[in-house]
Amino acid sequence: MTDPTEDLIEDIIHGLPLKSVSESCDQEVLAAIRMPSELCPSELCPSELSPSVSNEIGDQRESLVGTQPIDRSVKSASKTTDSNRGNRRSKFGSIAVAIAASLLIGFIFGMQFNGSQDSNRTELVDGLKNASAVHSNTGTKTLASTDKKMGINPSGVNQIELIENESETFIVSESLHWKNQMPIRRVETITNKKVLVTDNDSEPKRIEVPIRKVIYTLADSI
Amino acid sequence: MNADLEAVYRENKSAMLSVALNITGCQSLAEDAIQNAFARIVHTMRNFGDSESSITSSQGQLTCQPQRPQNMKAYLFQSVRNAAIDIQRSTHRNSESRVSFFENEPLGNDSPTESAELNEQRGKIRSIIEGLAESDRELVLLKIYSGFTFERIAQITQTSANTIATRYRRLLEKMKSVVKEKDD
Repeated sequence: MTDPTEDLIEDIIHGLPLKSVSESCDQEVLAAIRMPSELCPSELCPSELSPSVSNEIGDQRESLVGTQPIDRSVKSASKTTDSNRGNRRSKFGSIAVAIAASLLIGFIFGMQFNGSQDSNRTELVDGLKNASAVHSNTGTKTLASTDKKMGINPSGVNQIELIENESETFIVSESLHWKNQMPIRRVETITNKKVLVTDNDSEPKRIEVPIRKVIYTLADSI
Repeated sequence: MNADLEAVYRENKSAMLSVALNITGCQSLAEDAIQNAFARIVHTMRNFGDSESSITSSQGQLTCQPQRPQNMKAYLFQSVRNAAIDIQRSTHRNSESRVSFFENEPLGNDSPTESAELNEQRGKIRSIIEGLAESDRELVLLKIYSGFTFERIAQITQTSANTIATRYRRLLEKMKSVVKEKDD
């Protein structure tokens, strides 16, 4: 049951006129609403949402081990988020140092004791475990490893083939960011990729490696 | 779809401006917020898919497709509100120098006596509303001018519906005294 006094108050408030949108603003909003999709401004198109990521991906397309350092792709991805940049950089920096140390030790031992192909493969897997793949909504992708950055040569291994159909993906985190007033969703996943490693002397072997992926898309909710 | 969007905009543009103006305190910034929000909305709507799931996984590939909003009006208000908050944060505007979202001109189709009484009540209620906290002013705008339910307001402002209902009840109690004084 409604209170008549409350109704009266609501009527009085409703009678208070609100300010109007200026004519220029009105026209601009209506123009945006009526604008055909093919005239979508370039700054609003999905491919331009994270240009730093897209450009990096374009350069790194179809590259495999030894083409791009891990921290480059990670840094380019973090440019679009602006959050936790320092933490992430320091985190990956410390990881990179740890990887470098472990790989270097393994490599030295492998050389010193005239190690077999297995030791080289182990180094390679260590590198791949920390590899980074960056995907975008444009469908381009890359797989990057740390070995070139660290100066480690995975000797004996001459090919790594990514087996796309044998993978399992887990979403690690989802977060919402803003870029140019656009809501950007960042989805970080871990994919257990199976790669086919071929070296000079032995049979190709399948190795499962976890690969981190970051996907940026236009967010649906605001 | 664009016709629906335009219809909702035309019907609610003053209320949307007021919601933005309540946050930014400046008409031009509020209009910027509306323009930004609609530019974003128009682009987003072109990518709306028919499926319910926004993120699908297939062979390790993730794709994201925005969902169609269930309530377009609430979606627009929420977008404008968020755009206004973004602008307010980026400009760091002083909240003390804010502009009211009410027009200054009084209404007056009533008789002179009725108009004077009504204007007095309106003036008092207007001052009460203008003296409210930003969130309470926003509540008045969304409830009375936009006609949203408490649940929808809670969704837009990301608050619980019970909190919204309680706050609205308190606001009406505060304003009742003004009307009752007049009746007495």
